Amino acid sequence: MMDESRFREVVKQVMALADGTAVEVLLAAQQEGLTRFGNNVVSQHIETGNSELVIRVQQGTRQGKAGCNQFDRATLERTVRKAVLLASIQRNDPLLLPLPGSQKYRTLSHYRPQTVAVSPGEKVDRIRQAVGLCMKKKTTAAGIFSHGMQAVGLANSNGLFAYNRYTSAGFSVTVMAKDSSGWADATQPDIHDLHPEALTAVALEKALAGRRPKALSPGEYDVILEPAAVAELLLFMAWEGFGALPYLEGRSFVSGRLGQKILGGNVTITDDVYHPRTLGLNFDYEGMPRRSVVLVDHGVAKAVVHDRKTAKEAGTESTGHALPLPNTNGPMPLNLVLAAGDSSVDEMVASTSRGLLITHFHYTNILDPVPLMITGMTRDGVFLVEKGRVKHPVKNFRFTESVVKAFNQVEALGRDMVYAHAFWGGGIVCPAAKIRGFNFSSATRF
Amino acid sequence: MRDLTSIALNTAKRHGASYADIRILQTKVEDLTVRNGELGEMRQDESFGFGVRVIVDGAWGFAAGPSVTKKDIQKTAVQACRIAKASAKLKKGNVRLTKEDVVDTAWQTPVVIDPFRVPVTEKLDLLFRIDEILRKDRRIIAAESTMGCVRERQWLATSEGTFIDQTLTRTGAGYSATAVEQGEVQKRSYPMSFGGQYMGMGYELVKGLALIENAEKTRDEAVALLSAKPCPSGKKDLILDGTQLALQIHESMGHPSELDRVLGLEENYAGRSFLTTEKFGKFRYGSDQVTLMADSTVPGGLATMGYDDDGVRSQRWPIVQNGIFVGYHTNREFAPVIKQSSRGCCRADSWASLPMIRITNVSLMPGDRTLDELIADTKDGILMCTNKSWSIDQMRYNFQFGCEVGWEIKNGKLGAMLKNCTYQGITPEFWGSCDAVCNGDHWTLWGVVNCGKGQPGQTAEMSHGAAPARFRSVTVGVNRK
Repeated sequence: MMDESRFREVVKQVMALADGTAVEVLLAAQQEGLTRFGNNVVSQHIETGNSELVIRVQQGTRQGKAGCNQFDRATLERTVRKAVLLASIQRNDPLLLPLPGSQKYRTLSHYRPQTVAVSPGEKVDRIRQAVGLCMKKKTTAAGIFSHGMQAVGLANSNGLFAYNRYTSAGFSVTVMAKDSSGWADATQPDIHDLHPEALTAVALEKALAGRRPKALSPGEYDVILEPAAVAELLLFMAWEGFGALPYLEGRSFVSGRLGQKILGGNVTITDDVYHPRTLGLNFDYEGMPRRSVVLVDHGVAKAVVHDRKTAKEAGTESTGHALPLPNTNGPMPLNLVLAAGDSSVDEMVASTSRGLLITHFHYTNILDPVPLMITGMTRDGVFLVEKGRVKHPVKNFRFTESVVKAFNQVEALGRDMVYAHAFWGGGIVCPAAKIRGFNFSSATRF
Repeated sequence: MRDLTSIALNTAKRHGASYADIRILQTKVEDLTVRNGELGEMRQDESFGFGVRVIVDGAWGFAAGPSVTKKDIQKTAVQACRIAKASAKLKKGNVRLTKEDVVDTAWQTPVVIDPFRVPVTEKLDLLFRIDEILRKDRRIIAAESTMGCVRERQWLATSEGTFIDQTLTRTGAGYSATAVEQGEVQKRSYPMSFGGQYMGMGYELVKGLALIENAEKTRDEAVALLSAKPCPSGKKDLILDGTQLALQIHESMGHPSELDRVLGLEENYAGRSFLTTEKFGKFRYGSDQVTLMADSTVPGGLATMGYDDDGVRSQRWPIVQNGIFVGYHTNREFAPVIKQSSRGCCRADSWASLPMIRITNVSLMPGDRTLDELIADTKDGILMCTNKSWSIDQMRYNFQFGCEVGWEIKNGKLGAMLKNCTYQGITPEFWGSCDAVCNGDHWTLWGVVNCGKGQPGQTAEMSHGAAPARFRSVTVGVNRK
C-alpha cells in the first residue's frame, strides 16, 4: 500500500510527465483484513490491499481524467497521456475552476498502527470466544470482524499537497434464535477499543428477548429508535438534503428554507469530521480544508455544504465537502452528527404509554426527495412498549415515513453518542431518539 | 501467465493446500456522463491484480494484491494458506467441492463493435445531443446522460489443472430528466433507470437503443408528471412493464434462490431467504403462468460467460417451473447441500474480492398475450413503468417498489398519468396473483449493474428478461405525506 513518501515520489513523476499541464493527482489506498462467520464457523477470510491513482488534467476550461493501480513509468506515462487526450477533446466548460493552491489543514489523526497489525489467528480467536457465547445458548451467530487502514492523498501542480490516513476496526454480529434475531455493531479507530464478546452478548440478549414474537397491526406508533435506526434516517438527509447541488436545484427539503425552522427545536445537526467519535479526512477531494458546518441549529436550517463550484454559484465559500471531480452529485456531508439530548433508552421506554422499541432498519430507500419520504424494514428486535415497560417482542414491520416529519416529532434524544452505519453505508454519530407517530405501512411474516 | 499462476498453485500446495486457485485480472473501464451541458463524469481506468484462494486443513483462505510479480504472488499464496489455517480453528467440517470437469480453454463475449475503439468524441457528441433535447424545457433542472463500457480479462488456474482465459465485455447507455417545480420533483429515465440499459455486448447495443429518438418523450413525461394525479391507494390490478419486472425478479426471486443466503451465510448483511431447502422442488412460489429460467449462456446477458470463478461451465436451468420452486443458484462449495453439481454461479467483482454465489441472468418466460390485450382485459388497474425505488425484507417476503410513472386503466383503456406510484406485497402471494404474461414480442433482457452483496461489499451485474405481466389485486399507493 502506498505511503506518503511514495505518494510524493509518484506525484513528482506525474508532474514531470504532465510537462507543465495543470494536473491533480488523487490517491485512494487501502489495506484490509476481514473474517466473516456464519452458522458459528468462519465462512470467509480475506486479506487484501490496493492503491489507486486518478490523474486529472486541466487545459484551461477543459479537463480529462484517467486512473491506474500500477506505478511503473510506462503505466504512469500512459495514464497521463490518456488524461491529456481526454481533456483535449472536451468542450470548453466555462464553469470549470482553476486548481486551488496550497492549503492549511487542521490536525486530524485517527491512525492507530495496532489496528493494522492483527494476525488472522487473533481474529479467529476473538470470533471463537464470541461465537462460544451463542453456542452455549443454542443460538447461531453470523457477522464480520474487520480491520485495516485507508489513505487518501491529493496533490496538484498549483502547490497543493494533502495526505491523511485512518484505521478502523469493526465487529458486527447477528445472533439467531429459532424465531428471533439480535444485532450489535461497532467501529473504532483503535482495535483495542473494540469488544467482540461484549457486542455479541448484546446481540444474544436481544435474540433471546425476541423469541416468540407476536403479530401486531401496522399503523402509527410512537417509536424509540436505537442509534443505528436513527443513523438510517439521517443518511437520507445527508444524501438528499444537505448538499448544495440538490439545494440549489430545488430538490432538497432545505431548498429556499435557510433561516427557517424546518425540524423540531430539539434537533441540531452538524457535519463535523473533527468530532471524536467519527472517522474521516481533514480535506476534501479538491484539497480544500474540511470545515465543521452547523446544518440545523435547534430546528432552524442554517447551511448546506459546498464545494468550490457550488460555493461560487451561491456566492459563498467552499466548506470542504467536494467529492472527486467531476461528479454528478455535488458536495456531500460525510460526517453527520446529531447532537445528544439528556435522556436514555430506559428513560424513553419509561415515558412511553404505547410504542415500539426498534433495534435498526433494513434496506431503506427513498420514495420522494423533498418530504424525504423513505421506506424500509425493522430488523433484529422490535418490542412493544406499554405503560412504560417493554411488554413483548413483535414481528417486523415496513415503515413508510417522511424523515422531515419524523424529525419534527422528536420527543427525546439520548445522551450517549454512537458511531453507527446505515444499511447503505456511511458513518453517522447520533444518539437514540424517541419519535411520536411513526408510520408503519405493512407487516411481514416473521 | 501460466508461469505466474503455477507459482501460486505450487506454493499453496507446498504450504498444505488441498485445493488452490489464482485469478489474475486486468480490467479496463470507461465512464462518460454529461450533466446539464457539462461533463459530469469522465474516466478511463485500468486495474491489474490477482487473488489466491486456498483450502488448507479443510478451511478457506484468500489473499490478494496488485503487484503481479513472481515474488509477490508467492508471498500472497503463503499468506492465503496462513489465513486458511487460522480459519480452520473455527469450523464444523471440511470444505468439500463438487467434482467438475478440468478444462483448458478460452472464452470471450461476442462483440460486433469494440466499445473501446469508438472515439470518445463520438460518444460525447451523442451524450451532448441528448442533453440538449432533455433541457429544452426550463422545468428540467437536471439532465444526465451516461455511457460506459468495461472489459475484464481474467486468467483462472486451479490446482486441479483447469486453466481459463476469459474476456468479458459490457457496454451500456441511458439518460434521465428530472423536472422540478414548487417543491415537486419528478424524474423519467430511458431506456431504464440507474444509468440505462447495459448488456454483455459491444457498442452495437448503444447504436440500437434509439437514444435520440426517445429523448423528447422522456423529457415531456418528466414535465407532465409534475401535474399528474397521485397514485391512488388501495387494491388494484397491476401491470408492470419489463424494466420494473426485471428488478422485481431480481429482488424477489434472484436473491432468495442464492443457496449461501438460504444457508444463513449472508445473515449479517442482506439477510436470509424464505426459500429454505425443505421447499426445494415442491413449494408453490407463483401461479402456473410463472416460469423463471436462470441462464448464464443467453446472448447479451450481463452474467453471460463461458465459466464462473470456480471454473464451472455456464448453463441454463429452471428456478421456478409453472409456479413451483425448483432451482437454486449454487457454487462448488454449497451445491452438495442439495445433492447437485454446481450451477456455475460463483463470481467475484474484482481480483481483490473473494468469489461467492451471485445471481446469474434470471428471466420470466414470455406468455401468449399482447400488452394491448392485457390492458383491454383489465377493468380497474394501473400500468407502472420504470423502477424508482426498491426495498425488501431480510427474508425476501415483504417488498415495496416505487415506479417513475403509472397510467390508470379503467374498463380496458389507458387513462390519466399517475405520479409517485408504489406497490407492496408478499413475494409468494404476489407471484401467485400473476394471471398473464405478455408474449415474446414484448420480451427484453434488461441489465442490472448495481447488485450489492457480501461483506466487504461486492457489486455484480446480471440481466433479467421480462415482458409486461399482470398481477391481480395488489396494494398500491403506499406513499404517505
